[in-house]
Order: sequence, then C-alpha cells, then structure tokens
Amino acid sequence: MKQNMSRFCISILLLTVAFSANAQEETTKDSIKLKDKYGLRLGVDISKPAISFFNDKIKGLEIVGDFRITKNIYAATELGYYERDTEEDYINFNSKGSYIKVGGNINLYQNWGKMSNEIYVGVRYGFSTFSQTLNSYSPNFDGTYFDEHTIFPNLDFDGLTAHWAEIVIGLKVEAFNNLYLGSSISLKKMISQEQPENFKNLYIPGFERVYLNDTGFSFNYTISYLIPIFKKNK
Amino acid sequence: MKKHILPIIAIILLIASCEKDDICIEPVTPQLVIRFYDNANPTEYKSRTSLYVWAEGKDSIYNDVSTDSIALPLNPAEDFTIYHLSSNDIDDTITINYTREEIFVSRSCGYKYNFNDLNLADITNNWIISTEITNQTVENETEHVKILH
Repeated sequence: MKQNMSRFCISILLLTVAFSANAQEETTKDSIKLKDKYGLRLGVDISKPAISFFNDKIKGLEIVGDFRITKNIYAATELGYYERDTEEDYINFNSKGSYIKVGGNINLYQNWGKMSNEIYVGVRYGFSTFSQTLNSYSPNFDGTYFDEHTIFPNLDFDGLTAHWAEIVIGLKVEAFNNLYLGSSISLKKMISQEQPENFKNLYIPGFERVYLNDTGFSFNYTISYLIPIFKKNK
Repeated sequence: MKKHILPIIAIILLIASCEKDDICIEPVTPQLVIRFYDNANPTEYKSRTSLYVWAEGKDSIYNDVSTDSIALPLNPAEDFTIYHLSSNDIDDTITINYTREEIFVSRSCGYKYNFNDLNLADITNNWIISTEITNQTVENETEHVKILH
C-alpha cells in the first residue's frame, strides 16, 4: 500500500513538473529484471462529458485508444462525436458530427523502476463528417440609423467533410496499476475541407474552432485502462 | 534534440493560439453614394448648400451641410427606402428600390447585404432637375446615383 501510495505521489509530482523533468538521465543498475507491459489501452476524454454537464449547448464524447508497438512508439487513435451551438455577435449556428483521428506517439520520457509514464509527441491524421445549421443572423451594417433585425433561416448544410493534420504533445501517468491519467494538447492544420455555400466551416467536430488561417487547437483529459497482452524485458 | 523539441512545439502552439478573429474589421453592408452635379455642366461636381437629409419617419443624418457627395444607409429590413433631401428649405423626396442579397463575410462580421437592381421612383423635382443611376449594384462605396441640379 505504501509503495502504491508513493508511486501515486511520484506520478502526481510528475504531472506538475512534467516539462522540466525530462532531463533525468540516470539509469538504474538493478539486479531485478524489469519488464515493460504491452497491450491495448482504452479510455475516454473526461473533459467533454464534464463540459456537457455544465453547458447544455455542448454535447461530446471521445474514446481514445493506443497500442504499444515498440519500446517508445505507440499507435494511437481517437473517435468522437461532438455537437455545439455557437453564438457570435451577428450569427448563431450549430455544428454536429463525428470524427476519427489516427496516428502515433513517441514517448520521450525515460522511466525508471517499475514506472510506466509517458511524455510524448505524436502526429495524427484527422477526418470529420459533419453538418452545420445556420440558426439565425443579423445583417451587419454600420451605424444605428436603421434598427438591427434578426433573420431565422434555419439553413442546414449537410454532408460536409474536413481532413486535417495534427501535432500532439501530452503526458500519461500510471496513477494505479494499469490505470492511466492523461492530458494532451494538439495543434491542427487543415488539409482540405468541403465548405458550405455562402457560409463557412467555423466549428468542426474534432478540429474544434477553425481559426482564420485554417488552424486550430484542442485539449483532452483522459482516463484510460491498459489491457496487458504481453510483457517484454526492459 | 529531445530536450529542445518540447519547448519548440510549445512556442508554436502559443503563437498559433494568439491569432484573433473576434473583431470585425472587414467592410460590411455598403451605403448608397449620391453625388451632386451641375446641370449646366454635367461632368462637374456642384455642391448643395444647407442640405438636410432624412429617411421617411427618421431623424436627419445630414444636418445643414454643404457638400457634393452624400452616403445614405439603405433600410436593411425593406426592399425600398424613401429619403427626403431638403436644400435651402426646398424639399424633394426620392424612393430607392432594390433587392437585398446576403453575403457571408466572416465569423465576427457575420452576413452583410449587397443591394442589387437599384432603381429610383417617385422623384419630386423641386430642386432636383434629373437623376441617373451610374451603378445598379451597391457592393462598395463608390458613386451609384447622380443628381443634377
């Protein structure tokens, strides 16, 4: 229990000092044979249901998974559904759809002892199929000589698609045996997208907010469980 | 290399996240531009003095000005706007008919209107001698209507 507790504390410590901690280069000279666990790790993004709970204009779910291929390389994927209403100064619209991201991570963190944590960088290819609905807009004109009025066209733009690339950096900490807490940030750049006519893809599930030069970024906070399949010597 | 890659990515992310498109800076719905010309010499601008301009049922947007050029907002809720142009206490009215076309500008600006198929009707000729449409489409703020006086 004590050992478990200290492992937990070390893991939490790692979370806070994650980005300065990667200079650690000591290797342990231990007579005990240490083994790395390989397997399928499955989890969910806990931030999206939490946001849905507090904001009824947003609904989302993301399932994450990765598979360890070599000592430091993991194949990774994210699958999700996202729906949100966005209100801007002159427009109000809804975006909804699902997305998939596939790619891999490289672990840059050197574990010691029985620890199994990661600080990683990764790349993803993302694809989303979604729809947007223009709920309302107020024609934008200078001055207040005429009163502003709002039009409710409820215009649907269906069958939209987007392809993008992502760079991901993140960390995963084994908080309990085989149970991992993770967080990551990803920077996105659009490759291609199908734009609606006389409107624009402003919010894409998986890509999230589309900035002016077709870039975006997002965060996730995951809790995941490793299903160990085999072990290899360190 | 391993030590440097994380700070580099962090900096890229910071720069990327600073970009803003929250402020509307693009041009939005254009106004109708009317220029006053000399009836005796129709290629020369000629100012009107003591000019008051207001839309039907509204306050003045030009108050006692002396100018050869006015820009008037068109009513975005209707397909016509009636303007009163009064100069030196002589009133004239003019009805501007158009069709509205909504055009998406950007996230922060939303939609603007362009006005097409511009035409003038019910013009009174107290000080206005004649009118001419030089551009039937109001999509930017250059001359659309000539008034000769």
